Amino acid sequence: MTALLEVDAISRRFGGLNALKDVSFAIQPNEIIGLIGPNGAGKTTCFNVVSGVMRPSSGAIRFKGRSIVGRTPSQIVSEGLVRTFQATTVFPQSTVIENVMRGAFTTANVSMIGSIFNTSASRTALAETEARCDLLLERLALTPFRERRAGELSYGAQRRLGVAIALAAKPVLLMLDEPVAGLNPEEAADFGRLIRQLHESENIAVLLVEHHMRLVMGLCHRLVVLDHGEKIAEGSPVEIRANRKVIEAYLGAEEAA
Amino acid sequence: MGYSILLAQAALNGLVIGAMYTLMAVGFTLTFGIMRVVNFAHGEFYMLGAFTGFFTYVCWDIPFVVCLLIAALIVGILGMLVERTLIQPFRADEMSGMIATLAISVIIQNGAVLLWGPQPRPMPDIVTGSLAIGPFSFSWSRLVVIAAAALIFALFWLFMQRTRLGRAMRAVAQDTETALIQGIRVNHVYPLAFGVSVALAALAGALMGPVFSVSPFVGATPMLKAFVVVILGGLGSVPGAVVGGLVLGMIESFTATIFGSLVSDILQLLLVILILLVRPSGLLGQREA
Amino acid sequence: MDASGVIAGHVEQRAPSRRRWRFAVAGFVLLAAALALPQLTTNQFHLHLANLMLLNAIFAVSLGLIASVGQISLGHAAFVAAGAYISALAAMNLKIPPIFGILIAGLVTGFAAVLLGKVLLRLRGVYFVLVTFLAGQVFTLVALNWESVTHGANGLVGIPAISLFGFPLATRLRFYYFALAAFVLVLTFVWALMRSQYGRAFRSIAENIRLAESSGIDVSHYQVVAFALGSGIAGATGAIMVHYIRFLSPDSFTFNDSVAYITMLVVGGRTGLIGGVLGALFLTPLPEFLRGFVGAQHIIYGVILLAVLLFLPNGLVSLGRFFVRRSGAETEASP
Repeated sequence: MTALLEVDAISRRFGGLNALKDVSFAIQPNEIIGLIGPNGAGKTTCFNVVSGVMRPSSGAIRFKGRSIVGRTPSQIVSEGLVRTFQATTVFPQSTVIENVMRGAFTTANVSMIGSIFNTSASRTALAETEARCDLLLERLALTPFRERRAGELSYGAQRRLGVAIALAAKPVLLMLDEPVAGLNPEEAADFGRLIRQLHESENIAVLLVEHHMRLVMGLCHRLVVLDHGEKIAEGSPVEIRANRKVIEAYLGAEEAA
Repeated sequence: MGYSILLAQAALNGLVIGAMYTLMAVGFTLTFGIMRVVNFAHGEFYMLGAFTGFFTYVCWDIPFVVCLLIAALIVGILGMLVERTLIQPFRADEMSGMIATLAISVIIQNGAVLLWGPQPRPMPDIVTGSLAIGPFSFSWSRLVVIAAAALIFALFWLFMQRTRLGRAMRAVAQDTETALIQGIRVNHVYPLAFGVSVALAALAGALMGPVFSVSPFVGATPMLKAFVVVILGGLGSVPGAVVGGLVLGMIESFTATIFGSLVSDILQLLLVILILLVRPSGLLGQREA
Repeated sequence: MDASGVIAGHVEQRAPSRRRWRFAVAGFVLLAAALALPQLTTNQFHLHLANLMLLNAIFAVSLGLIASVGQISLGHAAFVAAGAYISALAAMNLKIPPIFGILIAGLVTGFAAVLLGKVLLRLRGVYFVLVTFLAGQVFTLVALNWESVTHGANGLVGIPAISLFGFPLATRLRFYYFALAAFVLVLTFVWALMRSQYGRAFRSIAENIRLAESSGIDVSHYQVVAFALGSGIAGATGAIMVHYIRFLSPDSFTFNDSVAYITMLVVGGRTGLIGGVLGALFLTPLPEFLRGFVGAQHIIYGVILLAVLLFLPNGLVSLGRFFVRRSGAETEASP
C-alpha cells in the first residue's frame, strides 16, 4: 500500500551548517514510528520540516501521495497531519474545554457566517463538536478539569491537553514532539499506553520524537535513527537495539558530552 | 558645473542629517536591543536636549561644548529616573511598556508646550563662516556638527567596547539570563542603558538646535526618522543604525534637492514599507521581536 | 511578546442562563436610559458631548476588534480620516447623499485595509505597530499636501449633514439618535462576531499563535479579517462624524487620536467590547470637565493612561468585577 507519509531525501541547511542531510523514510497508515538519535542529531529539525514549520532546503515530502512542501501549517492540518509542541502546548488563559474546541476548529462543520447569526444549524454543529470534545477529554482523563484554565493544570495534564487539542483536529497522522519530556516514569508509562490505545481505537498513525528509550522501545513498531543530520539506521526496536552504528552514535555522543 | 556644487552641498547636508539620524537611531535601537523596549518618547528627549542647549547657550551664554555636556547629563539622568519609575514595571509586558512610552511622550511634549509655549525659538549658529575648497564652500557650522557627531559616536563606541558598564550592557543585550548568572546587575544596567540612549538623543537635539530651531514639536520628525532607520537597519542592531542613519540622511538630502522635501518624505516611508515586506527583520536586523 | 496580555477581547463563551437574562435586562435598561437621555436635558453642550462619546466608543470598539487578534494599530486615526475624506468629498464633489457616502467610506476603507493587511500583517509584534505608525504618518502627509483634493491645511468647510428620507439631521438632538443607532448596530455586530467561530479564531491567535496555526486556523486570513472589519467600521464612523462636525482638515484625526483610542481601550479594560465603551464614556468628557487647564487635555490623557497601566492594568472593567461577586466562579473562562 502507498505510504501515508513519504520523506524523500530532505536536507536542511542553516547558513553553512547541514542540520539534515538526505534523510528518507516512510510511514504506513498503521504504524507507530519513533524518531530517535543522540542530542543534536537533527530530530527536532526533521520534525519541524515534516510538519511544515520549516521548509526543506531540498528534497520532497509527500502526505497521502501529495506534496506538502511550502504549504502553511494550517493547510497541512486540514490534510490530516497534526503535531503537538514541546513548550506552550495549550491556550493558557482559556478553559480546558475551550482549548479542545479550538483544536476542533477545522473539523466543526459549521458555517462561519452562520455562527455569527447563531443559526440553529450552527448551534447543532457546535453542540456536536462539543460532545466530541467531551469524549476526547474523557479518553485523556481530563474531564475533572473541564472548566479550569489550562494554564493552571499540572505539567502532565497540560501535555495530555496538548494531545487532546491535536486529536480534535481528526488527524490521520499524529506527530508528537517529545511527549513525555519532564514526566515521571509512571506518567510516561501511562502516556505510552494511552498512545497505543488511541492508535488502535482511532486508527491513527503516530510519529514521535523522543529521548525516553524505554517508552520508544516499548511503543514503536519501527524506529528511525538520526545522527549528525543523517539517517544511520532504520528497523524494529529489537534490530535497532543491536545495531552497532546506533550504539556507537550514542556512546560517541556520551564521550563527547 | 553648477551641478557639482549642488551635489556637494547635498552631500554635506546629507552627512549632517545623517549624523543626527544616526545618533537618534543608535539610542533608539540600544533600548530595544538591551531592554526590548520600543521608546515612543525618544523624540521628546531629543526636544529636551534642544531646549537645554537653547537655554544654556543662548540665555546663559555658556560655551557650547559645556552646553552639550549639560544637555547630555540632565536628559540622561532624567531618562534614568523615567526608566526606574515608569518603564521598569513593564519589563514582563512589552506591549504595555510600549504604550507607557506613548503616554510619556504625550506628557513630555504637552508639558513643554505649557512651560515654554509653542512658538519656535531660533538659535544662532555656533560658528560662522565657511571653509573654501576650490569652487566648493562648506559652512563651518555644518562641519562642526558632523565632527561633533563623529566624536560623540566614537566615545560611545569606546564606552561600549572598553568599559565594564559598556560590556555589561552588551552582555545583557545578547543574553539576559546568562548575564544575570555572571553577576551583572541587570537592575543597574537597564536605567543606565536608557539614560545613555536618551542622552544620545539629547545631544542630537542640542547639536541640531541652530539648524532647525527649537520648539516643543521638534522631536516628532527625528523620532519618525529614527524609526525608519531602525527598521531599515534592524531593531537592536547598532551597526545597522549607523549605516542606516547615514544612508537615509543621504537619500533624504538628495531626493529633497531633486524632488522637494514632501516627495522625499513620502519616498522614504514607502521605501521602508517596501523593505519590510521583503525582509521583515530589516536589512541587518536581529531576530524578530 | 505577549500581546494577548494587553488587549484581547474575551467574551464569556457560554454564560449560564440566569446570567444571560441579567445581561439582557441590564442592556435594555441602559438602552431605555440612552433613548430618554436627551429629553432630560436641553443643554446643547451636553448633547454634543454625548454624541462624541458615542462616536468615540465605536472608534475604541473597532480598534478593540483589531486588537483581539493581538495586533495594535497606531494608524487607526488614519482610517477614520480616510473614511471622513471619502464621504465628505463624495458629498461635496459628486453630490452623493451622506447616508450612502458613509457606506461607501466604510467599504473603501475596509477594502484598503484588506490590501494593506495582507501586506503588513506578515510583520509580527513590534514591527507591525511601527509600520502602522509610519503608514498613519504617510496619510497625514498626503492629506496635508494634496491640496487640489483635500484643500490641505485649510480643510473642507460646509460639509453637508446626513439626510434621512429628506429629513436633515441638522441638530445635535437629531444626530444623537442616529449616532445611538449606529452605536447599537456596531456593538451588536461586534458582539455577535466575537461570540461566533470568528471570535474563537481571533482569541486563539491572540493567545497562542503557533498553536492556533497548528490547529488548522488560518492565522493570516483571520488577522486580515479583523483588521479589515475594524478599519472599515472606523472609516464609516469617521464619515458619520464628518457629517456632524461638517468641517474636515488633516488636523481632525491625527496620531494623537490614535493614541487616544488606545488609551480608551486600555483604560476601559481588556475586554475589548465593554472596555472600549467604558473607556470612551469615561475619557471623552474628561477634558471638558477639567477645562480650567487649557491645553492640558492631552497631558491628562497621558497621565491617566500611565496611571491605569501601572495601577489598574485590567482597566475600569476590573473595578466593576471587584464589586460584583462572581457566583459559580469556575463556569466561564476568565477574560
